[in-house]
Amino acid sequence: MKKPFLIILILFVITIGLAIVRTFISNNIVTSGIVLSSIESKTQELETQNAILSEKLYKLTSLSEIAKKAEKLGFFENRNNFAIFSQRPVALKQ
Amino acid sequence: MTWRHKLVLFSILFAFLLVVFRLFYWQIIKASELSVLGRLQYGTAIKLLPKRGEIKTSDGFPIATNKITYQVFANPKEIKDLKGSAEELASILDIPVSSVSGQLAMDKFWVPIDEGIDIEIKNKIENLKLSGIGFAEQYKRFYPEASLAAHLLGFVGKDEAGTDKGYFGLEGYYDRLLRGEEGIATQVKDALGKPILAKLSAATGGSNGKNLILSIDRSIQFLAESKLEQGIEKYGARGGMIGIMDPKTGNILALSSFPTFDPRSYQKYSEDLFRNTFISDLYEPGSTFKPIIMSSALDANAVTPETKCNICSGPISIGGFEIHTWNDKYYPNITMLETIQHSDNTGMVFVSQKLGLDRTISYLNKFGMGRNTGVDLQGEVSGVLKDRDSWYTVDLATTAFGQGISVTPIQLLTAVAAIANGGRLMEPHIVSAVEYEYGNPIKIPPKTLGQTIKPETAKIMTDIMVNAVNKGEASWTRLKGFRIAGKTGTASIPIAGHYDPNQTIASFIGFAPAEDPKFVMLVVLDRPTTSIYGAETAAPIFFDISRSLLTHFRVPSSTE
Repeated sequence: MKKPFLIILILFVITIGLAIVRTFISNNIVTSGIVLSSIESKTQELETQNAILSEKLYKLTSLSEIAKKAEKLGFFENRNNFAIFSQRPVALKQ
Repeated sequence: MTWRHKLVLFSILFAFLLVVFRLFYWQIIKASELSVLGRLQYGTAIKLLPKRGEIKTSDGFPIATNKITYQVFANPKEIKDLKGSAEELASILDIPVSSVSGQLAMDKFWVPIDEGIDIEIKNKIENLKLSGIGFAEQYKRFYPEASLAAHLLGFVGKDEAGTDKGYFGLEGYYDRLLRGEEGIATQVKDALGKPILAKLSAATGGSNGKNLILSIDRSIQFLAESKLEQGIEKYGARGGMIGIMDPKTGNILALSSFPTFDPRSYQKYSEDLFRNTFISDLYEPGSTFKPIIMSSALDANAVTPETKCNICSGPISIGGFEIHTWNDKYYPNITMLETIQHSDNTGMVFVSQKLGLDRTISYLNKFGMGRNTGVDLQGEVSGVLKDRDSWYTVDLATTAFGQGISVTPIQLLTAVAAIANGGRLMEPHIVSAVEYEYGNPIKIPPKTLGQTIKPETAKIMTDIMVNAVNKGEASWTRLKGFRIAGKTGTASIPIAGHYDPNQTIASFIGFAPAEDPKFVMLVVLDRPTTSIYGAETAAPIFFDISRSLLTHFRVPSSTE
């Protein structure tokens, strides 16, 4: 008689325990959906802002835009180029 | 335990098993079907459109990307003043009032008003604080460099189903890669079946388009386009083309054709302009083809640079035709080196006779004539290389100086690039890597198509072309201090069975620096009017661009 009673008691305790844990976890995560939704909205907003700013940036850094601004500022094409491409020695040991 | 106990226990177990099997049936076997039924009751599946992939130049700048635009929609049942709202919206959106009124008069919960509007216009409408008006974000193709590389890019239009589709150029060739895959999400409905305008749930599948990284150098492309446009105006040409390639890899650094179009408003242009003439138009290349035949003859040991032409004292008669030089000047016993220098047609006829028909056809095949180069752009065509039996004697002669054979500019550029690359023919390509949403870009390696001529022959031909630049008709405009290999071209245009005596295709092809070429470039002008000669029109454009390119590639000048 004692053994079956013990088994039933243990099962009962496990069931109550699981129910308490379930309630505890459910309480904790019940607001996460709202937080998640809020984070997703913020992400979407930032992505939109990023796209809008990227568009402005690309327009301003396009070569056609730079060429127009350069012309207004008085830059012109240099037809007499020279460049030093490698380090020349200052003096050679003889 | 009595038999009654056992019977009860057995019955309970049996009932339990029945329940388990039934649960298994509904939850495992019928799960997907029930899930779909549930979703249909709960909401409707809608498509999630992917973001189209970007197209970037070699420096990572996107020349084709997506910008955010908005679709304006309305819920007519929530609008209090239909007439006033219609007038205000029409005024800001710059569309007819009747169009807006017609939409707002519908007995629906959702009607579209306009789409593709910018954020500034969206903000103006929002400031009106009209009830029942909403906005949906959309992506629209955006070209930050306006019409730069328009023929390379192509444009994005719509297909029969109304979805975005790329046409021409890279947008067309790589459309599948760029467009991505649609996803599915559930549009939530309330108890009465009305859609709830909230965030979509349970999105599955779908991925944004892949990005393309091009071998195109943005600065070189910009330089080539501006110089070409200036040249066309200066020389009074109908149009023109420039192609610049890295001969060692086949990477296209710049490709430009005029007249061109603006991909942002392609609807306003004639369809003829969408074709990239550099890959889609056939023409007779004229004297720019001579290096191909001469290098073939040198490689086959049919001639050497010092071989003397014994039939070049005057015009040559072949098959009822008389072949003249371009200026009717003749050099008896002209050498092969001088043949290219003076662009002597009779010298080239001599070369073709020495090379012979079979070897000519063989080398033309090796150089890629008669078939597509395989460049990754939509719309490439190729001239036809006739069967051996269809060649007349005069065809062999005229082919030697680039008449009577049709090629595309990309074929010619690729073939001459082989001379610059020690005889190795490379497949031209525009895309150098594909960028996925997650992970590293996948590079597309250069592809060798074959060996056209021996490296030693390529070196000899290079020296011959350098001599042509230094001492030929274009020497007046050459860049001093650099070894540049090149050849002028002044090709007659075939019209209705004969050649136009007054108009030409003027061109120049070359590569630099000759000893270690960083680029090979072809400049073609269509019917220049100030002068018909390539030496006086296309050559100056070539050398003007070369000056900037040699600085760009940090090539020091050499003493000569």
